[in-house]
Amino acid sequence: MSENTLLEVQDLKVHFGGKKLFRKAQIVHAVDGVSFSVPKGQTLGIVGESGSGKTTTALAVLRLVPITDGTIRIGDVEISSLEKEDLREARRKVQMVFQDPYSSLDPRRRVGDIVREPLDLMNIGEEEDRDQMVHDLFVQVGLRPELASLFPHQFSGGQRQRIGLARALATKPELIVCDEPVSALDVAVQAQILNLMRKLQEDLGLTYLFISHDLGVVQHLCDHVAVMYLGQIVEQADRISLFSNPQHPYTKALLAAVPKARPRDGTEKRVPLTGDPPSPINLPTGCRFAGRCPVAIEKCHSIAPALKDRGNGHLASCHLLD
Amino acid sequence: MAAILSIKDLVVDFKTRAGNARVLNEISLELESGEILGIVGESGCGKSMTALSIMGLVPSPPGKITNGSISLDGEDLVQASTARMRQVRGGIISMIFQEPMTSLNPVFRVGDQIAECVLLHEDISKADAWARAVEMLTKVGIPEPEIRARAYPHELSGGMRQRVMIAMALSCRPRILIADEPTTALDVTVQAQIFDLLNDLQRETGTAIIMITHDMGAIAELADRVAVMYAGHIIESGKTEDILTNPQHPYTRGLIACVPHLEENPTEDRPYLSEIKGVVPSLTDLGKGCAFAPRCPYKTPICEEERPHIEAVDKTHSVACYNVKYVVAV
Repeated sequence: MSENTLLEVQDLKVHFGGKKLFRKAQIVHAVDGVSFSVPKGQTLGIVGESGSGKTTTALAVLRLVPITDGTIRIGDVEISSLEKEDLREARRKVQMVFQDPYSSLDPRRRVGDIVREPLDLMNIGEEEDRDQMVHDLFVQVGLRPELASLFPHQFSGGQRQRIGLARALATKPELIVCDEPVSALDVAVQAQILNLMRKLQEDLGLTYLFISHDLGVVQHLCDHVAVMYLGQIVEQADRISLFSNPQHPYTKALLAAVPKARPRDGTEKRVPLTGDPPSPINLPTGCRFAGRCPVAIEKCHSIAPALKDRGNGHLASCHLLD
Repeated sequence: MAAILSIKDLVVDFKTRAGNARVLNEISLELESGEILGIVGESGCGKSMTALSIMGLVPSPPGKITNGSISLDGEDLVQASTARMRQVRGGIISMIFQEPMTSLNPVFRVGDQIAECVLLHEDISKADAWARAVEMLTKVGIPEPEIRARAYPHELSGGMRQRVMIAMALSCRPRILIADEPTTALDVTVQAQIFDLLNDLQRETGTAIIMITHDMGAIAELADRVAVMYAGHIIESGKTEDILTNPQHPYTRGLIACVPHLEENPTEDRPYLSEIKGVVPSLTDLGKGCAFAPRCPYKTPICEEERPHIEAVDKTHSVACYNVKYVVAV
């Protein structure tokens, strides 16, 4: 692990389900052998369709779902082997911002208390200084500190997401895991939140793990991008290489599916991806994408391709690239 | 081409505890037969309310259409009887909604739900209605339609459910289809499939479509013409091409500029996104001036005094802004 790496995930597996009393065990392979690392102060974006395992990966990094196999390191702490109080202490360094700003704030608590709660729980600073710290956090995320005594329902979606950010920043974390933080917001508000996140990253040297299905947003915010399909990373590269030179057929299809905000001229007809991803319970043998892949060959249906370097650290798993 | 639907000076008021909220303020729109009209705007701008007004589904009370007309081939739908509206809904104008899971009935087979719609509007036997349901499912590209027609909504994926909704909406061969954010809940790959499907069906059947969305990308993919809404007003309308490449109203410009668009060849250079400062105003407290004035970088004293009317800048392009010329010059 290089010195500059903040988060390193190796061969992470998260499987759900198990023995049933009268039925055959059904195991959901939500995340199935995922490895990546994020350098300090940078942003890794994970993209994929729903059910690809991107949210489960994010939750596993915070140990919010049981890990089946693999290791997760944050700095020099191996968070995947910690238990109880040690784990709670370690979470100080890693915080999360959730997708839905309407359900991720307790409706019965004043927002100032919501932001203060992590300070109390983690015993940060002196008790009498904490009100001032909450005040500073509000300023940092662009909210007027007088608003601290209001309740969540009195805020708009964008303001609530700012409160969610303030709460995440309270423990002075190094890593913030963001699970679709702007997808519930209107476009104009989305721009405000994305700019705020970038500014916070520059000011505080934060590292982001950014989960999103919006490729435009990912391209704007992330330094590195991993594309997930059915529990596995199928392609991973730096931002420029991935978007200008996508290798995997799935990545290409994903990029082609994004509507361009310029008028159609009729000449370009995309090759639409047909069907839905297969079930993560009965996984197909061979490449998991083969069933929907427009260029699949016979080999794809029997042998799973490996994630290999295709030059300059651009990883992709596809037989056709070998 | 003749307009099949024309909305004139439509005003919808909602009585709230905070006062009277004018959710639609003198909206005028024309839909020509066989075209796709996009309506874009942020949440709360009145785009869904426009759709509900056309369908005669404004929740009343607290809502009420207080002025204006919605004429379908010369017939005013605002004055139409409840019985007549039942014929219109589903028969002449039908609608698909954002959330395909909550708009389908979970305890009936999807085939029965489509057949029910046909039975309501046409004098047809049950067996024929079922056959029509299967035919519609084939048309929207569902594999093994005979088997799928017997499925319950929970057995289908999100994309499949939205296809079922589209099949149901088109089952009585309506002349107008209103699609209210039809792909917001879906993945991009599925969204692309639905866009292609709508495009193909539109070409095949000639149904006029009103497409309601907050996504300029969706507009670019589908719409022939666009109306941009802000705080209950239409502030700009025109051909899709003109709106996207040559937006005139400061709000439309902001709306296009603030979205990080996917580039094919990104560079190291990543400027911050341009923002529209401030927040959408409360509809109960709009003041007498232009609703966008408090957030507008080009505002002049008159903007706060008097609301600008929507006026043509050329044959097909209209804008409600006093400073169009100045904005263009910048």
